[in-house]
Amino acid sequence: MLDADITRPGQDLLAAYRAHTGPSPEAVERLAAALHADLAKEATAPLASAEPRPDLETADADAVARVLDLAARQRSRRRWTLAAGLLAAAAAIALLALRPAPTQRHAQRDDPAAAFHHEPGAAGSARARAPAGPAADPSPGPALVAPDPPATRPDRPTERPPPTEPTSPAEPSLADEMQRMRPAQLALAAGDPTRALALLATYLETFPDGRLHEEYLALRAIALCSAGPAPAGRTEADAFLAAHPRSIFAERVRGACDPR
Amino acid sequence: MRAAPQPVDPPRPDFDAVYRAHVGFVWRTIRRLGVAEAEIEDAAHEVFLVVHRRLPEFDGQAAITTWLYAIARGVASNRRRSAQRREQRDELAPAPAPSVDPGEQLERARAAEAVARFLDGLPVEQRVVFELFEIEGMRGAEISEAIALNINTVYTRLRAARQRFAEFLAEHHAREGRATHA
Repeated sequence: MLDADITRPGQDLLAAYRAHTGPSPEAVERLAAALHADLAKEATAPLASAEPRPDLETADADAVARVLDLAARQRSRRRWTLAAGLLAAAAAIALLALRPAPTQRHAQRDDPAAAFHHEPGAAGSARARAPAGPAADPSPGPALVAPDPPATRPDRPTERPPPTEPTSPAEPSLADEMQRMRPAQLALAAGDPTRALALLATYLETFPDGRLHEEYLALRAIALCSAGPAPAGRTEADAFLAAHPRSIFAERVRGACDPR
Repeated sequence: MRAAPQPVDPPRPDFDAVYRAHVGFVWRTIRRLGVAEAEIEDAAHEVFLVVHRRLPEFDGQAAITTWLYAIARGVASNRRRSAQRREQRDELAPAPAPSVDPGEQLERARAAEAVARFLDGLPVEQRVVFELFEIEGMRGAEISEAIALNINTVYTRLRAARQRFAEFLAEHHAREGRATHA
């Protein structure tokens, strides 16, 4: 599909660029040491928020002990979650009686600290999760109610489903997000923007605060523009380009939504 | 139809091996995604913590670079400062390794600057494809998946960028030759 490879002098230049813009050997070692330190802490820390799934068949005795300990704590957390869930439900009913708009939850969603805790295993490192036992969580409210619906949809508290993952509240996984986003990408690549839009809506419903939100917005704008001449696509494209002018999707959004 | 061999579970990639093989890719990807220079190392730290947690789920359906790219993109888009982690890393810093020969380093820096100038002159859409293909060694299909771009468009952009690179190289060598003979 390509005419010819880049010549050797060109490859040498690119190799120099690759080395120059990559990490220094010192940075590689420093980062490796820090990761090992973090991971060692994580292995001995109290219950992590998104538990790994060790393979029991190959696990050593220590790992088996950790798994059993984990299971016990999960059972404990489920009990706590149920009790706290009842409290939260009661609080939600009282809140609804007073004020239908769930402004507090939206405020919490916008809180950078709340978003911080959504990063599984990343920003929420072992150190950050050290007090992660449920009883130590000072704000169980947002973690116990169902995920917020998309901001553009009217709030329908009475139709809100129960949390899908009661043992892992408010912990969207990046891998799950990627998995949910991928079919939309494929549908768009296959020339089916309508299906892509439906899949994107499912993504947003599942991950209203997802880390792939920028990609979601871009794909939605592209899909709308590809679906037809309705102005909605153009409007979303403009909003996306204003909010993310440096996005790697910017050119693609422009290409899909600007006929010129 | 030819019977496909029964898929067998590929061995799980080893975290350390993934780190050693791809830390440069992750580092440059984060840089490319606009993370500030001072925060690249911290962002890479974050990416590899996610990688460690999710590695058992990596099913090998996509190339690992495509998977890493998506993780890096997620981390970059949700970047949170973490001064505490940076401080901890600084405390753990090993003794500096012997540096690269200064002459070699200078030569490399000059070459890298030349390539950076070339990349800066490329249209963004060509630049992304060129960097992922020529600098990161990703294949066309992997790039197509990573940035959700039609495979034919990937190659069209790559071809155009290569053409520009060939022109740049010719100019670069002519300039270098003049400088040598001056």
